[in-house]
Amino acid sequence: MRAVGSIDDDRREPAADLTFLCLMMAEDFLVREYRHPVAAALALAARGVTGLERPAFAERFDRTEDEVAATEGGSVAFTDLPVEVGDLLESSQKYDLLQLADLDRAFSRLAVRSSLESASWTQGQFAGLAVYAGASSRR
Amino acid sequence: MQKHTHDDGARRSDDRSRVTELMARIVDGDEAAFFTLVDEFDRRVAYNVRQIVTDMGRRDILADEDEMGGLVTDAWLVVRERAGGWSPDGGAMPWRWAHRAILHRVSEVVGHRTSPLPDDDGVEDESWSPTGDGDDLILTRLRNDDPRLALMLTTLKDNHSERDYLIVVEYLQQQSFGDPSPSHTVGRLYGVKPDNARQIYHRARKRMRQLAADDPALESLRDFWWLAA
Repeated sequence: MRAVGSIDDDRREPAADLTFLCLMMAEDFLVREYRHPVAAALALAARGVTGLERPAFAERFDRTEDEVAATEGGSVAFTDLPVEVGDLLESSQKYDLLQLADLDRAFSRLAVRSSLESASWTQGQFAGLAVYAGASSRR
Repeated sequence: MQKHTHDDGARRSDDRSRVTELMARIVDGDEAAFFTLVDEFDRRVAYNVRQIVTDMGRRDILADEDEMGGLVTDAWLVVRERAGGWSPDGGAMPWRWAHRAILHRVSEVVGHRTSPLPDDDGVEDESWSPTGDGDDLILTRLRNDDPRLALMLTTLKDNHSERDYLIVVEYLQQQSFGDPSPSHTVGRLYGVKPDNARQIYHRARKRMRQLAADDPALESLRDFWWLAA
């Protein structure tokens, strides 16, 4: 804590926002029709934390390369990600997992095609503005 | 003058071979290597960005941790976009090699975030209408119907530029409408790049979380879905 009047400079060195980079990658994967784009981005980020190439990463965590490739290719759901993915990202303290989980939920909702479900989700999530806007999605 | 030691030289050589390896992996499609590169060399890029912003005379930006972090992130995106064109034979590290492109990106971002919106910046008036025109009316009505949402919007508005506020609200609306790519829609509406729209949204949320955590008056927002999720 800095005392009032202190001349300490507690400004931190600026750093890249790795969560944001992860979000961007997930959006790319969504466009490329990955089944689980956020989980894929997280798996890649987790391996990025280790700095290892895929074979070495698989060996270190006692996985097959195919398993790692499947996870990074978006075949594994967010909730089914191997435990090391969460552990690595958490320990790096550079990723906001809540935000990433939120994006995963948002992407999952896109798959809901029922107008009834979509409507109730819209009301639940952003009750108010969506109603007042009274417009459909502009794409 | 800074004294260079043998260790400095060895470290530079190690860094160069590590960067070369990671860049090659990125170009080969190993996306994990990009995260590693950012993790290991972020300070170098941050230093470059700090120099650029200093040269631009923007001390206000230098003092803003969020803005600086965003610019460093932007610089990394430039490096990633151009990874295929970099060669270790050129002698410069990727962020030095891409300096002009990074400078351009920083100028673009700093310019639009901090300057008043001119009349002739290419954003047509109707682009501002979706949530902007009826904004006060909406807030008044919301205060009765959903006070927490009203508080969230008021706080958002008070702590951001008008443009950023509108971009965030529009982004939220597009998400709620099921738009699979809100950043592109909002980008088109407000005349900003999708990356910038995404970043403005992302930072606003981060800032709002911090405000809610720090300010007892905003305690009710701490578990508000947008900030708590």
